[in-house]
This record gives sequence, C-alpha cells and structure tokens, in this order.
Amino acid sequence: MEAEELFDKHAAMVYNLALRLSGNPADAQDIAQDAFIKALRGLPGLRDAALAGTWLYRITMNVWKNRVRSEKRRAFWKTFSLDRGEEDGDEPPALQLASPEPPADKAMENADEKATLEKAMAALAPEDRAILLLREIDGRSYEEIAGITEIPLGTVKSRISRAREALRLRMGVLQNDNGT
Amino acid sequence: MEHKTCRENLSAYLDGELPPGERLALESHLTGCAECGRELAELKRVSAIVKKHLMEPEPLSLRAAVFAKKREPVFSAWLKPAAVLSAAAAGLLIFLNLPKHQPSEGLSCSVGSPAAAPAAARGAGEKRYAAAAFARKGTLAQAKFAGAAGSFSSFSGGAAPAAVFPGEATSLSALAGKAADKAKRAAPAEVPDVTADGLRFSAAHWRENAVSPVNGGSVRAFDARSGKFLWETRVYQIAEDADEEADVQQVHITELALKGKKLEITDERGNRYLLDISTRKADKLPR
Repeated sequence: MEAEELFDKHAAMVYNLALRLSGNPADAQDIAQDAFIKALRGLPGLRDAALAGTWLYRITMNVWKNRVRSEKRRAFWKTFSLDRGEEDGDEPPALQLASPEPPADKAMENADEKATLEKAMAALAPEDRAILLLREIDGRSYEEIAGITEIPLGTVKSRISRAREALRLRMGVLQNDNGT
Repeated sequence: MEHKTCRENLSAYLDGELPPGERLALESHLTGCAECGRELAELKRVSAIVKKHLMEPEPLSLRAAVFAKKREPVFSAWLKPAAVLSAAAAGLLIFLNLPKHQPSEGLSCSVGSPAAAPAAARGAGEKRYAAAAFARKGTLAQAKFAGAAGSFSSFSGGAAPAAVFPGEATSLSALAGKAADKAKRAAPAEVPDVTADGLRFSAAHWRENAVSPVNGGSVRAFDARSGKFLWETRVYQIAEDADEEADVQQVHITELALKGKKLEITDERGNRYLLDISTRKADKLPR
C-alpha cells in the first residue's frame, strides 16, 4: 500500500478518532499528524493491507494515550508549581465546531440536533466516544474495536451499550430543556 | 429471556453482535414487551443521529503537515547498518587516499556523513569526540562505528598513507562486517498456522503497531473460513532498550501448537507460553 493511498483512505477517520479522544480540533490535528508519521514509517513492514485501518487506528489510540500520560505528568508538576493556572470545570466543554453553512429552517434543526449531540457526547469518556465512532461511523465489529482499543470484548459491548444509553438520556433532557 | 437481560442486550442486538440463540430469545421477548420495543426504537434514533453528525472534515493542512514531515529521510531498522557503514567506509577510504599533508578540513566537504570523516582523520585522539557527535546526531551503531574507526586510525599510526593497502582493506571489511553483525539479525522463520474451532491462529512477527519498533510475541486470530481478521494479542512483552537497534531486540515466535483448548507458543529463546483462546490470557510455562 502506498503512503498517499493510506492517507486518502483513512485521514478522515484518523482525524475524527483523534478529535473524539482529545475533545478539541487543535490537539486532534497534532495526534492525527503524529499517528500518520509513525504509520508511514512503519508502512513497509505492513504485510496485510486489509489490516491497515485497524493498525492505523491503534497507532492513533496509542499516540493519544502517550499524550494523556505526559499531560498527566505535567499536571502533577503543575500542582506543586507556584504559578498554577485556573482549575478546570467539572464538566468538559462541548466541541465548538464551525458549521459549514448558515443555519436556516431544516439546517437550523440539523444544527440544533448536532449541538445537542455534541453536548451529550462531551459528557462521555474519551474512549467511549472513540468506541462509538468506530462502531457507528466505521462499522467496526466489537472484535475489531477490542483489538484497536486493547479493551476486552465484553467491556466493548457494555461500553457501547452504556454510551448509547447515556446519549439517549442526555439528549432527551437537553431537547426538553430547549423545548424541542 | 428476562426483561433486564433483554435491555442490556438491545445495543448489541442493534449492532448484530448477539449470538443466534440470544438473538432469537431477545426477538421473542420483544414481541411481548412494549417497553423494550420503545427502548430499541430510541436506540435506533440515537444511532441515526450519531451517524448523521459525528464526522467532521479533516483540516486541509493535515496532508501537507504529514507529507512535509515524511519527506525527512528516515532509514528503516534493517537498512540503518548498511547506510551507516557505507558512509563511514566511504569517509575512511577517502581519508586513506589523501596525501599526508592534506588538511583535514577538506574532508568534511567530501563525504555525506558529517561526523565520519573527522572521526577517521583526527585519529584515536579524537575518537571519543566523534563517537559523541554520532551519538548526538545519529544512531548508536554510528557512534560505535566512529569509535572503531578511531581505533583503526591509531593502529595505522595516525599518519595518512597515500593508498589503501590490501591488509588495511581486509581490516576495514572485517571491521565493517563485525559492526554489521552487531546491528542486524536474520529475518524470522515462517511459522505454520494452527486451526481449531473455526479459528486460524497465526504468529504475527510484525505487530500491527508501529509505535513500538520492537516486533515479535503477538498472535493473530482469523475466521478459518472467511479469513477475516478477528483479534490480535501480545503473548509476551519484550523489554525495550532505546539504546539498542530495535531489530536485534526482537524475539519472534518459532512454533504454535494446539494443547486442548489452549495454544502453546514457543519463542526464539526457547520460552513456552500457554494462551487461553477464549480469554486471550497467556501464562509462561516453566522451562
């Protein structure tokens, strides 16, 4: 498989996986970029092109995990630092993603629906958001998701179920709050 | 099927991930349970919204960023020793061909590798400097070879001879061979797959994970009939030394054998492991 082919086929999914894991577009681009650079270096050793997606998504997960680990270390030292920044709020902010078109009528409804989804997604754990993306968008089987995330199969099943249930409840509450 | 179990299984049912028996039991429950029916409809609605809105277009700058970085030269682990040795040997040969009074400054312009020429030209006195320069700029193998090149130079008295003599050439190739042996390994042997209960198990010499450059120790499972990849698991971990070349650290699987419901794995060091196929948990067997 050629580098360009690998990128064209998987760029959208790798970026979105990184976006759901990190929760913000700037970090998502960094993670996706690092994941592709690592993958392209290892590409000559990839024996089975059919496994490229699984392999690439796992690299993306690992790049994200490594970043989280180093951020935790930084946060640990920041705790003891004299120039501490502001504390984070209890709830992570919803993704603020620009809409490509100005909302009107049907588009407005779509924009509301999307905003509600983003708010509900923000309450999920990063890995649950990633699992949901792999299932709903990429159509990965539970086995494949277990392989990519290195989470046991039974846990994948329960996390997908829990994530959907949480979204269902939260979206219901948010829609009621908005009077939709 | 109990109502509670049914609710827990609705999501997996929606994804077509329930075994046939459980699927039939759930469908039978659904015919008489309006609450589970409503819940399933709600899950379908949430799933549709997620499918509709979850993807964002990747930034256009991503491609440029990835391929700009990719163009920076990177040698694979298998090619590194050859590239390093070629550069170092070229530097050494140029040095040996120079007249005695040739100032060494000119050498840095003649060779591709920035530190190889000074290492050879300045002799044993500065070999530590050259090795350190390699350690900063290149790989450990480069640093080791720079040190070795310095030794060779001191053996020949530190004076630059006008031509390469047969004895010196032999010493050089022997030196190069020794360094090459140290920095590479033979490719792992092919391991026959093992099939059981509709699954085919294969030794994965090359992990589908380029984050760690050290390969070996993984087993992959495929559906025996369709060939579809199912899962991959790491049977044993390999201690990773960042100062060593990745390929020499690899410990590959040499044999797979079925032992009842478990898979016995033997590695290149003669260690044996028993992998439980259902839980994917591996235990090391006593030697």
